[in-house]
Amino acid sequence: MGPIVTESLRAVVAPTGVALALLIALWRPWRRNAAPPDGLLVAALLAAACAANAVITHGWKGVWPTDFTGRVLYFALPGLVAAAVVRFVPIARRPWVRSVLAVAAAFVIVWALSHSRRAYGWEGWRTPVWTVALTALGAAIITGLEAGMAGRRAGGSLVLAVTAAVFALVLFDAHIASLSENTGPISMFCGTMGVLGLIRRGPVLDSVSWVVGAVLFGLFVSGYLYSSKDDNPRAAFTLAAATALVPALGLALRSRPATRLMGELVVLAALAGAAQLTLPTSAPDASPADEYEMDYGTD
Amino acid sequence: MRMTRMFAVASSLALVGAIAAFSTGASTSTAADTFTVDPVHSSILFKINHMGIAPFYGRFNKAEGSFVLDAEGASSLDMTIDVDSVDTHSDDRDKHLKSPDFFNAAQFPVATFKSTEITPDADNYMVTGDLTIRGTTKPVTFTLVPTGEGDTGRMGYRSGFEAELVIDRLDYGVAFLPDALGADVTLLIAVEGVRK
Repeated sequence: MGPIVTESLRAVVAPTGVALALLIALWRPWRRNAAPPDGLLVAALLAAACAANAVITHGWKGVWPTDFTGRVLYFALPGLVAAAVVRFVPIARRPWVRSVLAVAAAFVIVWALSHSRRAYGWEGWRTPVWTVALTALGAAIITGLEAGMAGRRAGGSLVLAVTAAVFALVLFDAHIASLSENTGPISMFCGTMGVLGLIRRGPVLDSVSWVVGAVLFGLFVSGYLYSSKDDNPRAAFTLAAATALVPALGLALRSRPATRLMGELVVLAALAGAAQLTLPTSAPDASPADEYEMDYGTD
Repeated sequence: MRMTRMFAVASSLALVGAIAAFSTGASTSTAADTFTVDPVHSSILFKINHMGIAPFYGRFNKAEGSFVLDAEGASSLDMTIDVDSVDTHSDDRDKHLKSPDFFNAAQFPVATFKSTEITPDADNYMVTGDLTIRGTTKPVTFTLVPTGEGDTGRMGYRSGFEAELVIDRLDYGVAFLPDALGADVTLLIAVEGVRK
């Protein structure tokens, strides 16, 4: 068993497995009249799995550390809070209020991750411009996923799982395997939920989409700001961000659920392939003897 | 006249003596000399176990700093290492080491050491100080071994030392793949400094 597999078992499978066990215990999908658990509760389970995964992957670095990887732990929190507000405050269900909540969640994530850039990198006008641009992109990702997942169940879960997998692929190819690993709970949790949803009516994904959007946007900002400057992976990250808008585009097609799902998966695969093409497979000056493998030969 | 000649000879001898004394003083280290780290003739290597099979060595190619070694006075050692200069003879691996998986060079571009206490220990020095890697500062103690000192002519008056210390990378938040790569990292440092 390779070290990446061992690492994945510990950091992804263990916490997500616990969250899924709780979900299944609440859901009891083996019963014919099983009612799916509340969407907000499902979102909270996923958020907890993401937080545990972050601590296992990056280690405990304090409550609010300078090292941005220590803040991955909190990525799901703004999404979960926004989902709870939408769930319990009637006025928050209005589209413009949800948009404001998405902007607020995106801003919190950008602000939490750009602290060292604000201190040492961005000067003058760059801080407001970068903050506004990234916040706008984050709001688009979060609202795109939320709109695309409204009222959906199993099919939407599978789309969320694949979207997270595209982010994982891009982050791994950008030489940040640990952030790639942080997408694992979303893929595993939503993938399993999607498969179970084919058997029994699954939970609605409105609340889950907030958590997924917040976590994926946090990972996007992390990779965009802190990946090695040698890699120049920004085009790939932008294509990964575009995957979050695919469910909203599927909504516009107004096609049958199965057709929509197939279309979404095809577009996601195309975006993943395009992202791959924008990244060099190895360093330009790597010699033929340079056979370094990030996964330490797991394959 | 005779007195004038004697005074001239005495003055000349005094001047020669003064020049000789000054020259001697210029070619030996005095108690509080400060040396600037010569990055071209200094080596900062690290050793880590790979997959439990063999130790692997890498290095940092850029460092700067200064040191004072004084058996009777205040000694000090300050060094700053450019993390972006990590070199392991594999460009892909170097990129990975600079990424947030390891050094997170985009957020923490340098590693630093600042001594807090240096005490003589026979021919060596015991150094205690703060080592900062990836934004995390921890106290470390190691033995500094002076390796030579002297006037090298065109390259100036130089002093050198070497040191070795073992740190736990997990203490510094370099926590990726703890099963594949050992937690202990040995730092091997050989420094040559030029007197300011």
